[in-house]
Amino acid sequence: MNTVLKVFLSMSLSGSLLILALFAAGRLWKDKFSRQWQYYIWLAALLRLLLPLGPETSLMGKTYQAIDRAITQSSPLPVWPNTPELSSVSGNQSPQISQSSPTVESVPQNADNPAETSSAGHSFRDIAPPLVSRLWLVWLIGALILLIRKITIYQSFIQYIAAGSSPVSNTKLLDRLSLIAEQIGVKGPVELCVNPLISSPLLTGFFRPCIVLPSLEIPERDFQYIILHELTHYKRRDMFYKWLVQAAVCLHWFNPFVHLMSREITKACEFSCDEAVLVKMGRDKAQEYGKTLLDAMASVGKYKEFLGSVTLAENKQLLKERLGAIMKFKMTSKKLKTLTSLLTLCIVLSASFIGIYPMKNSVDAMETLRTADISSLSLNIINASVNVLSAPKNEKIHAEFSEAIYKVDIFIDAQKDEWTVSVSSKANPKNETVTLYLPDISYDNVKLNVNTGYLDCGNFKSGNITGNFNMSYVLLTLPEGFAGSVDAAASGCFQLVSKDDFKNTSASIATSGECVISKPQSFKKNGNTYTYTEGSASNVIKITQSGSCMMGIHTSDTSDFLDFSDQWDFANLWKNGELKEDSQTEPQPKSNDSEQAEKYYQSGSLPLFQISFFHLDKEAQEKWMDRIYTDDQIAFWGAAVDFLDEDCGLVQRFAEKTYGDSNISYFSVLANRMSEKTLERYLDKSLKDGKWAFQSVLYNLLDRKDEFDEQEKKKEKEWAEALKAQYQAAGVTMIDEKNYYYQGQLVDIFLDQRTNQSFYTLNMNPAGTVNIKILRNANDKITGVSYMTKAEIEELFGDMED
Amino acid sequence: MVQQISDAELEIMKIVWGNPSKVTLFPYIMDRLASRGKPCQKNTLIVLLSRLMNKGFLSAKKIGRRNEYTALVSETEYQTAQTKSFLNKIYEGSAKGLVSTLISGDLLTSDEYEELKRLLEEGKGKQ
Repeated sequence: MNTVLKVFLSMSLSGSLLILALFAAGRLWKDKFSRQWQYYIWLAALLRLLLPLGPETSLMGKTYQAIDRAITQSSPLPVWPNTPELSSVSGNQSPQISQSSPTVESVPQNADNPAETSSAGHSFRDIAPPLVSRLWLVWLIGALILLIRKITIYQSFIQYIAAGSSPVSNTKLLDRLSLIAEQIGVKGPVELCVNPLISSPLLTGFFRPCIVLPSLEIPERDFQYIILHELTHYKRRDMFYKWLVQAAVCLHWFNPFVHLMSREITKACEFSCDEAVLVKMGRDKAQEYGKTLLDAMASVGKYKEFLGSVTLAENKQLLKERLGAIMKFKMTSKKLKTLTSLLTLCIVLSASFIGIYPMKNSVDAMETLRTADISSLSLNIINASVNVLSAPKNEKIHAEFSEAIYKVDIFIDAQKDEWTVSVSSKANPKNETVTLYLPDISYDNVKLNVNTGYLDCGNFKSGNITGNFNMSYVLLTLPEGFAGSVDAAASGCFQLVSKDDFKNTSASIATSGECVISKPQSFKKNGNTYTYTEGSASNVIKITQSGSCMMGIHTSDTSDFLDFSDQWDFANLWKNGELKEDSQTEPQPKSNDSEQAEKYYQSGSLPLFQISFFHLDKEAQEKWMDRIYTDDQIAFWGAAVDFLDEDCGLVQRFAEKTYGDSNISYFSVLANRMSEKTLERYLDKSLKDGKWAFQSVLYNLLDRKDEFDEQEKKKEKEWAEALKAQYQAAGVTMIDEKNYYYQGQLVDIFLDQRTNQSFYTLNMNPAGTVNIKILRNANDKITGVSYMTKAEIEELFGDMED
Repeated sequence: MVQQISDAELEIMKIVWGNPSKVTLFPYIMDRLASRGKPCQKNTLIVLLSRLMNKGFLSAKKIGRRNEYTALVSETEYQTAQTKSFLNKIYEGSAKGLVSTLISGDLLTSDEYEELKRLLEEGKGKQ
């Protein structure tokens, strides 16, 4: 979203809150406080609406950021996990896992999950930019049209007034006017005109005031009050106030509260002007003044006066209120004055602290970027945690971060089209993350340098990505349709995800000694190098291990378990140097690793647990897997299985166990670490045992999905026929799978409910005449058929309505 | 074209025309108005002066805090323009009608009559 629009919307919202507060409080002070004050207090709301200034820490700032994040990052299209069985299981797991499956719980934070970010990014990229840019335009055009309309109406009104006006040449009247002007302290000449076309006296002109009277045939006293009233308007610069209000109305035209406020201010303006006149005249003149107002109203209705000029009498309802107020008028006491000034302070402070969308916390690149350009980007991260999200094409690079902890510099070399973003930390980042928004354009060369940091990015659709990851945790996701190359040297932990399963890619991974690698089966091992070639091989991926490293190469299928949300303890990575020790020195003694594994298991830190788990020996690993299985922690299960050798003893043992328990979700995780031979063995087994879910998973992994579908169809048919036969035996005939007949009559409601409540057949045929249900015993054997009672039917449909 | 001005404005113009010095100052007009028995407020005078400026009768030159007013239309010009419009309005442009009214209405003294006659003769000579 465009920052200007965001700031503006937040101004509108804050303003509205203030307007509402003033309206609510207005009832309290209506007759108590000075009208003058009631009029000017609206300036607080007005300035809140017009000035984009706010303190750094404001009441609403956080809220706006949260709203913003929710809007920017929530994905309109849910990302379904690979197998439906998994999603239902993960829903019951620890919070990190439910975050990874947006189908279960779509909280805004889940955008931190890399797997989702990239896909959310896709849909957002496709839909949002035209929508947002249009929104901006709609707002701007609306505001401009309104403003121009108001100005032209005002001008034509002024012309209309001027055309019919003739200057008053009666020096006596002019003299009286100048005496009053002097009396209330108006300097400079005041023009006096007569215009029979208007209905009530009014004042025009910003700097050269002109009072226009409908006629000169008015009593001397009325003349005095009218002039006094209009000159008071002039002296207080009410015209400017009114136009300020009009400006706010134009800019916030979509906000009904602003329109309400405008009406209220017009009212308050007259009230306070009356009050000011009476302060000058004294309390005893109230009645006479009221009478003048009435007389001025006598001929109302000739011309609809415009909002921009200040008239004496606006309308009858208002007049009534004004007369009431005039009669109640009393001088303000000193006590009340103190109270009002205190209240003013409160309101002004709250107006500024209610805040707006915080701009201070973000850095924008100063130059607007050319949208379609191909640019080079260099991202340097030192001791920092950075989450890269994509911004719409026409936006600038910008970053959101806590200033106390991070330092972010963005340089743009417009001539070379080179952008450099440097992120470093001033203090221990703890769990604070920098969110960096990069415009969604094509990039040419992308240099990623991460030094003991954390980086999660997945929005480079193209480009030559060069990575230098030193003892860092890096998750690089290549979106679908990625075209380009990756050349990375990594130590620490490096995870690469290809959303389109390395389509048209030639990949080579060179490892040396101390390396843990998890990779798809299709990657062929050749000494210390793993290679993979597919299609045109136009995308080149080259990864070199530059120190002790844990590597994960993932396809879209296996990336589901990657979840490095902000819960992971970033501080440990560099501050305590635990990862450094882990990887730079020889493997730690066992006891230490298992202690650490315990610690990370308890704190729910998946990646660190994974590292510790890897260092454990087989025996300890087995114990851990037993424990994870018992604790039902599927995410940890995934992390543990990730680095097991193919078909190793642990895989075999737990495969047997999970198969025996029919625990499909745990089994399917293990299946990723099985050879084709083992998979085929289990497929045969599951076919024999009739385990459908297992067959589905295994067929899928063996790329024999078609066979499964065929099998499934066959099975379904068989099953349907068996059921038909069963019904037939109970006296129910089924024709065309839709029409049921019982004792020669067509059935309307047909209900067959198994003892297992979750599975039942319900068929309805409005043409039918009888309602029946199948009776089953505890073993699901059909025992008979009975007619359904009215109560039963009601119960059935009552449930459905719920 | 010379515009119409109100009586109050004409009063001011007369003071300006009658001022022997080239420029007229604000206090001078105030004093003269008072001595002519038509005193007015400061603001009133400012308004009237600004009207005269708008109508092109006066120009003002600001020197420091005071305004120096100069007439842009001379008294004769004004009289000619006014007479023309008077003639057009009442006598349909016929000066003869005007003169005959002046004579038959006993509006001329014998001295004025003689002078008019002389003016007419001179005018004839010129033609």
